[in-house]
Amino acid sequence: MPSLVRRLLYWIRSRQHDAALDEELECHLAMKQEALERDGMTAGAARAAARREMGNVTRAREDARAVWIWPWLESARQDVGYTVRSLTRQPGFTLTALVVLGVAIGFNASLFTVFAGLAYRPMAGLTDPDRVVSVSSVNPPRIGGTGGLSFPEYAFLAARSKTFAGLAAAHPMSVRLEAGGTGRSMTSYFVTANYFDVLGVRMEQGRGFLRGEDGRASVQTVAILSHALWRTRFGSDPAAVGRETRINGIAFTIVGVAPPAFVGPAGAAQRIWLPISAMPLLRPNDGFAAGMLDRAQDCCVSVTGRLARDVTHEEARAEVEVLGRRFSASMNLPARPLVLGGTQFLTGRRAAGTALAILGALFLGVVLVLLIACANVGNLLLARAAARLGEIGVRLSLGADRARIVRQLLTEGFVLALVAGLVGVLMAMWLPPIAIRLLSGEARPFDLDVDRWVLLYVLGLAAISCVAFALAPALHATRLDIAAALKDDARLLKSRFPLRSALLAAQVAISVVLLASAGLLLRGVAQAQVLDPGFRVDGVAIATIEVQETSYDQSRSRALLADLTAELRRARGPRFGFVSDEPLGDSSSFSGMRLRNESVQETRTIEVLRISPGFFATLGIPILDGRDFVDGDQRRNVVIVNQSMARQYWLDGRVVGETFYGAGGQTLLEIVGVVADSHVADMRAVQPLMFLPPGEYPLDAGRLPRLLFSTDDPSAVATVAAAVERIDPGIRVEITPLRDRLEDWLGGLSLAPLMASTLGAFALGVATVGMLGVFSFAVRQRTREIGIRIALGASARDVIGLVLASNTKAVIAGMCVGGIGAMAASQVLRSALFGLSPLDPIAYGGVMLVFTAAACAASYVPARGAMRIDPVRALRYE
Amino acid sequence: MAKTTPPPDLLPGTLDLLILKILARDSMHGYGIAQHLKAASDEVLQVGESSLYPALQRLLLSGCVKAEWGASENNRRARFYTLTATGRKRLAAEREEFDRIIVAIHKVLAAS
Repeated sequence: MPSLVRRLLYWIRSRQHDAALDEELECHLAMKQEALERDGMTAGAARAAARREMGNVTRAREDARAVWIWPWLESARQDVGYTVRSLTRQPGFTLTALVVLGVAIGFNASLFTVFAGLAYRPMAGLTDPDRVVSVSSVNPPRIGGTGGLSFPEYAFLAARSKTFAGLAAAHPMSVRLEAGGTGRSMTSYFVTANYFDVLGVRMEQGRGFLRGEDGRASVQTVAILSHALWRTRFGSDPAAVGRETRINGIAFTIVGVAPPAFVGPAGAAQRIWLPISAMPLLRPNDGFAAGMLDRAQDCCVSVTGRLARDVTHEEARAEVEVLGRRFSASMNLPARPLVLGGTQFLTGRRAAGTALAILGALFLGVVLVLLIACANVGNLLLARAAARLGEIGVRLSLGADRARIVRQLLTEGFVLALVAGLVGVLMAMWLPPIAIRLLSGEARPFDLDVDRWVLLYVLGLAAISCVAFALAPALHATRLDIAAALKDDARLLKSRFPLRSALLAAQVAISVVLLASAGLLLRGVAQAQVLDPGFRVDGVAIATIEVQETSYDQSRSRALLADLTAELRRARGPRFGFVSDEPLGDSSSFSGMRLRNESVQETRTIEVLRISPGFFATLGIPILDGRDFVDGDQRRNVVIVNQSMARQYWLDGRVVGETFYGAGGQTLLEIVGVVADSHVADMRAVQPLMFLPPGEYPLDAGRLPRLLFSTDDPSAVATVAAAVERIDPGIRVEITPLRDRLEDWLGGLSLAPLMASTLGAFALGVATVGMLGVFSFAVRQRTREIGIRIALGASARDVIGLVLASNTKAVIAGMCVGGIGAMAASQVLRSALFGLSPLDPIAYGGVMLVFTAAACAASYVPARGAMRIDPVRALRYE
Repeated sequence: MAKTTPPPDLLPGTLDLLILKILARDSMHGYGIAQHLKAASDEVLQVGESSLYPALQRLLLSGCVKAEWGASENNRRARFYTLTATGRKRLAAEREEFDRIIVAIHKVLAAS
């Protein structure tokens, strides 16, 4: 090691050491000269002889220095210094390259940050998050993915496990929070009292839940607010802690406020946490909630645990597995394997699958953007290298190693890439939060910090892109014929640079792919606007009825619907019908279905809507065969299917009268009607859909069916409101036109085109700058030729033709390749096109038009420059 | 940058050994070392500056010698190299190794 220390000391004081070495060699020379003089030589002759004898002093000095400094390090230092000087001397070039490359790396880094936050980072706001794991059960293969545990199973684990310092359970459920005069329903988490301790979350204000506060003997009405909720609904008032607030009409005391970093597992910022024992109290009429704490076969509490000190992940997994088996055996339940996982935002394969598909598509987009940026900067470097051919030629002829010059040019690329990486990191710090806010309305639903993995990723990108854009130009520029280069004749290199055209064509092709994808997505949205939804949108309103949950149990909710039906019929009001999930809404329900000749394993899930008689008539959905539901159908096992379902499972023939097994796999349902396909559930391709009468489906007071009614008669809204008022003045009704729902749904579509357009616009910009650069270079290369032509009387048109001719081929080739690439890419976008052809001529034509316009704009400036060339000056240039 | 190589007529590492040996008697400057080498070997061994100085730097780096500025015989400011304890140890070790190799070479030559 001491030699390393000496090396370092030398490195630090290299200037002094260099001086010492010089002096020493000078001294050596002098001594030699003196010796020769003593032998009788004249001073001058002695000096010359000494010099001759010494040979190459520079070489001796360099070799002596090389002993101390790793030569490559030394030359790298020189290269970096040289690069920085030469880059700052050409700010235009440097700035263009940095913006193009920086933004491209920024897009990539941003996407990676989002991916990191979603897929591999633990939940935000935990202490020592590596020790926190989730426990989940593996779903049967038919369903796939993982699910939660039943509460009794959680209790069984928590009581017996020795590998965990603590195990906590949580279950989400929406509640209605009344504060500041208004009520708002939001997702709350019902948690065990140790929840925050297990996660290691310290309260910002007040306290967490106390031990035993989740006791079922006497339910404690305490609540903890998320930071965002505290800020928006309670004005960040510290006095809010200790205050009472009403949740589902019951008074709760706010005891704490969570820190801003902690937003829970699902990432919504507006959150409230309540003791798990309060669930039956808040949802007394919800059979599911009431029995949840006792039913051993349920699935749905999510369990999180903190590993005990010195316990490995593996040990905990083994113990959980054994305890899970023991629980199933003791309860006589089929075994359900338990697994440990992390606390990432994306857990469970199904959710991850969708999100990863979106991220994957975006990833392709940003990689294309990076490629185009590399091609662009590569061309800039080529142009620079061409301008520096003289310098490179001189250095090569003086005996410089080609590898050395290549390395220096690469260093230039790497310095550029590193600074661009810095720009990218800055972008990754602000872009993802903005994009996520656009996407979800939440500022930071999960961890979006730029961590060392992001930095490493950016460094990797910078290195790769540096090789991508700098290596080829460097090799190219040093392959030259020295004699020609020294004559500073750029024309000689014309044929040597087909690389320029290739890089230009690549830029054009990639930006055409991105632009065409954006164009197709935009057209898809436009298509969705004009798409016939298959049901009446105008002249129909949707009423959301909200009742006080605690005072409406199942039978009262049922009575309410019956009363409302009777009331509306008596008032001879508008056509109306009830439906379980609102058309084009966020929620949808699915039900099992198997044909009579299929086994239970073959059960599939099909989307289902529970509707009342009058639904089809209100929405104007034609009944193609059979009949609508009638009042007595609640007690019959009947079903209506859409045309797609009829066609898919019964191919041909009359479907009415056929039977199949419904949910649970035991009850035979009889098809009584077939309705036309419509987009009631989704504006995308119509899927099989079945309609069931309300039946014995547990009515949830928090989610009463929606009332759809015709507003052809302008007084309909008033009629409905009056009818509700007559039944119970305490009920709130919110009435919105169905058209608004459709607009909302369509509004949600604009995101994909927005992102694609952003990338496409950037790509177009880069390609335009690239074309501008190449055209300008062509003019510079041929200044003399153009001058001669002008002198000989060439017209402006000839000159422009000359400028364009050189690179038009590359642009056209790029557009063709890009068009083909876009057609391939469009197959991926099919689902977002709403029936539009992936070869939509308007999208492609539009893109080609935009691109041609950009190419014309890019060639205009250089062409004008070419026409202004003064023949006299151009010829005198040599 | 080319690697530093000792003159081809010397066995690898021999130059370092010779320098150490010369410095074992007295501290000396670069020119002196070259002169001494020439004289002691009856002008058979002539070391060029482009080998000598890198070799001296190598020895400095490995801590076998240390350098100080002093006045030369002709009152010229010169850099004097002195053997360190490490250098002495290295000299002994290398000398032994060198002898072993010479003996081995002799044996091979005598055998044929």
